Amino acid sequence: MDPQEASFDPSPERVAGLVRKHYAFVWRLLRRLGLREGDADDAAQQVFMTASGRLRLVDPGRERSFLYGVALNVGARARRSLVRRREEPLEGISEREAGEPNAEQALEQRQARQLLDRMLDQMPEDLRAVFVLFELEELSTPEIAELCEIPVGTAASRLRRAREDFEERVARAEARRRFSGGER
Amino acid sequence: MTDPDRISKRRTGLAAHLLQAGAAESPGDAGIERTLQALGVSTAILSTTTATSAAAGGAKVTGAATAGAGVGASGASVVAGAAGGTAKAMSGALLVKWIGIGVVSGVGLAGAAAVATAPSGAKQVVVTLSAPAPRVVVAAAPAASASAAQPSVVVAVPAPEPAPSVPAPAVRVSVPSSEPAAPEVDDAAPLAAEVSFVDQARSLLAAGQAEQGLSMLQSYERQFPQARLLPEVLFMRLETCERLGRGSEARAAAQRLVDAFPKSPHASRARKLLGQ
Repeated sequence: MDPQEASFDPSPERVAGLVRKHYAFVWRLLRRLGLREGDADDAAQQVFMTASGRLRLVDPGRERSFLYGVALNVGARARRSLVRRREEPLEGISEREAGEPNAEQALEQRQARQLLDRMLDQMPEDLRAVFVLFELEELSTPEIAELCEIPVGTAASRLRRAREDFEERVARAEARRRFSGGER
Repeated sequence: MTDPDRISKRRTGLAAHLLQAGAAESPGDAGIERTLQALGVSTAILSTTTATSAAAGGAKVTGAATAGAGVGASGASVVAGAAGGTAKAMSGALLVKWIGIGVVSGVGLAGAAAVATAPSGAKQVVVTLSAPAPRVVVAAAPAASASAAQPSVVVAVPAPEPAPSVPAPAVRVSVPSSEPAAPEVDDAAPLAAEVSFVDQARSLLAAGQAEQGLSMLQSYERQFPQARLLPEVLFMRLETCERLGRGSEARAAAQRLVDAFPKSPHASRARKLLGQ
């Protein structure tokens, strides 16, 4: 980056562009790190408030990974300060979802996400972040290593353990289903 | 080192299904608007203030194009959901079976009945300048009006505009090139194009090319049937026509603005023009 440019605050356009382009990714990451929807809204806002102050130090094209880094920190802090996700009954679908062409599908997707989040909740935090970044945000292991500031080997090893953990939970759930006669 | 195949990319299986559902989740637009307001940039792209835009000229267009590319990214995960079609292909019954046996305790199927009666008319329009007040940090931005859930587009007065010739050759389409186009923003392109289009019209107006700018604005609804920036466009039309002394056209735009977006920040100005 031009050092002169770095001495100025980022333009409102750049900040607005950053939010519009990356908000969904940041929000979804926060959700899968264990925040509920409303908490994810607040945390995402925090991420962008934090990020906008440092944006002038970020090279164009590196914004997304920068935001992921901030989101991991904000998400971890938010999770610690919030009551852990409770076993809450399924809420009805939101108005937004109700407006979607297939509301029933929206409900089914929501149920799937609840199940996913419960499985992720049981995963150690360091494994969870690596798993979510790899499986859902589709980052590569080296990218994850850089973001989490860990060696690539460590990232790979956490990923392997996280995947084993997740698949095991799914398999156990499947076994329970068979045992309880849920399978037809 | 080679990364393993992603579980989320598998075509079948509960594990893949759950991950795909997670990847498909997307936030509401209200959160984005709230964040923009908290940062004080909610009108950075759509501001009708052109005082600096003439001087800023090219830089503004570039900036807006970049921003525009991102505008629709909020819909990116919707795209992801569509891409993960295998998830949708799986019967909901699979999940119902899981949930029914208490893998998720406390989750019943009652919600399914609720779906049938859920209101389906509420649609969100992406660009309004209103949003619920920020929960975390409130930074100025006082003008919140309509709630995000309110259906905000009811175009009462169709404006049968004669088809003006669109100065297409004069329009420099700024395609954001600083970043590779990620597949997830594909679906967002139309909105990005809308923002870019409106900004170009604004640049023309700021540069004193009122007729050309106005012509673009008049063709906006034909080019973008979804017209997600309609309040802005109507307001710009109102202002420009007023400046050009085209009173009846200014009033027509004002009337549409008041009818369709009564709570928009621009509506009060429109009402003044209409003597309301």
